[in-house]
Amino acid sequence: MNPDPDPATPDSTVRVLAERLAASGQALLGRSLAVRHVDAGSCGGCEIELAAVRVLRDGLSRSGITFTDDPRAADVLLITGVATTNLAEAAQRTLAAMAPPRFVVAMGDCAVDGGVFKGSAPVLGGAERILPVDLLIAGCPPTPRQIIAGLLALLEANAAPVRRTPRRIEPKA
Amino acid sequence: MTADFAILIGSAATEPASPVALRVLPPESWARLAAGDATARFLGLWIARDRVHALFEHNGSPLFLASPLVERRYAALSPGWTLAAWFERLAHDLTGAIANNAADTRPAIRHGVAGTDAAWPRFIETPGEGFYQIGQGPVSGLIATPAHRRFTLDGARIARLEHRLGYAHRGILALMRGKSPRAAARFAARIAGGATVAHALAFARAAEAASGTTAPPRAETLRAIMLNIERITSDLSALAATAEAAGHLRRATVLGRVRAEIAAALALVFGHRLMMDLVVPGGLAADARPDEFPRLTAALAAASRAVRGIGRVSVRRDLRGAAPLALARARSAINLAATARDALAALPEGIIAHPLPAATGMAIGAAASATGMIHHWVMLEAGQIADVFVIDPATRLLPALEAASVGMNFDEFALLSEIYGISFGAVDL
Repeated sequence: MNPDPDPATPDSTVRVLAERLAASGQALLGRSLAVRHVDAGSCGGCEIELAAVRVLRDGLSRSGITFTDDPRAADVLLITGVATTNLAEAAQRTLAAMAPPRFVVAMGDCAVDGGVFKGSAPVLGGAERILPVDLLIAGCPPTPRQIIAGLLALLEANAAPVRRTPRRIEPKA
Repeated sequence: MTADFAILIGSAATEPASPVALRVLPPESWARLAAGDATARFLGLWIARDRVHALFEHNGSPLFLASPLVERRYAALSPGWTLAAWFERLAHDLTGAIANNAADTRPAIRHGVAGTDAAWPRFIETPGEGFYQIGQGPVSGLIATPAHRRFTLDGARIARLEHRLGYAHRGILALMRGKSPRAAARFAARIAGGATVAHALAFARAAEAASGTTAPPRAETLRAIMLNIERITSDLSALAATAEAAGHLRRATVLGRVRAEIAAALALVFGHRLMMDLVVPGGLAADARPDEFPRLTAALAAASRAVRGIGRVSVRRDLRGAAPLALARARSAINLAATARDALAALPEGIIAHPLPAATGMAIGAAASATGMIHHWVMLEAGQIADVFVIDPATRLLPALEAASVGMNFDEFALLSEIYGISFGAVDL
């Protein structure tokens, strides 16, 4: 039994986090954080919680995350599942297609260090075995609150390099 | 079943197994199975202990057959049972056993291994001028699925669809071997996250039957409730994804939210949003918290209301070829929600687990997931898992989806793919 460390987060807590993430994204990127998801060999549990993050919108407050098909448009490569030998190349090619600044987030115990599949012959281990990882979000699977809190931490810690929108220049008096 | 088939099986030697005996055929009798039979349904094939095993369903009950390998070879069943092709490929990659006269000898999970197929990836050639192929995956879609799809197109219509799998192969069967059923249950729970209860339950039932024990009544009732709720959440996920693919974004969001509310209630009742690691051989790892049942029943009632909109004419029209399956899943969710609510109100008191004796035996356990029946075969020796095999309904749905896609355009196929809700991890193992 792997007890959920966060069984009963009130929706309001998640909403506050999501609002902060959306505000950070607006301030730093001028838009939401764009995520390219890669399933490196997941059971599908992490994807269920990603789907839950996608429906967290509430009126004006949005989750502050958009998922994108296009690696070129993505800020974050979000990798779930244990890194299998078979998917390693596809994951590396996806990262190579992303424009810098780019970040790699390993989500879920399998992507963090291989989880229960650690040491199995057809797997390499955590995402770090195939890609340089900037942030780990543990949990099996992590809750929507943990996912959003993790991405918020990433955005806030990397405030300067992520800045892409030019600062508004006030006309001189 | 034809008379010939019945005689073949009737004359076989039997060995004890649960719920039906294992019938061991001599190799020459096994070879005659390849002719196929319209009255039996193929479920799975695997190699263990120098034997090839096959599980069928016949007249509503399981039919469990085996035959010794001869020089690591056996007669392929794929000429008569097309569903056997994937299992023969998987068996070859896992054990090296060769299926004679197999319909498909491409690698299943071993990509690019020297000697298996130098040209991997290899897909069937296009039939002529005007046809072309498009590949998709294993990194595609907003939330990616670990599979590669190869569409052969005739104009804008799909002429053929093939899948390349193996991207989510984690070696689950090997990880389960040599462990106690209790320790192996963690792997069974991670075959498919959307069917974690169903897989853990099929595995627990197999381990319990092989050990000659059962779970206590309270655990059995809670297991049935958990299984029903998992099926509802899976139906909601598939319906939400299908609605989104159809452009019904508001409906998709509503369905996603009622699904998320069930997850939040499950975290309160069972301590985990997906109910992972709760079903263990012998019973349950933790009891439910009845004081949180009202939130769960309210979430289930909201789910019942949310799926009713699928029946509207305007929605059905936009779901196109996926509409019949979407309606069936919506109806199923409503029925299951009512059943779960009634069961929660009549939960028996008592203990939630029996100890599992260190037994020797063989059994097949089954549990119904949202997409079909899951089967786990377990062989115990002195309380340790000597061997195990897992059959997920995705192995049957994938060929069905490939066949159904023919003649569709991409948009309609996307709808059908979402409502099928195939777990590739459960195929790759």
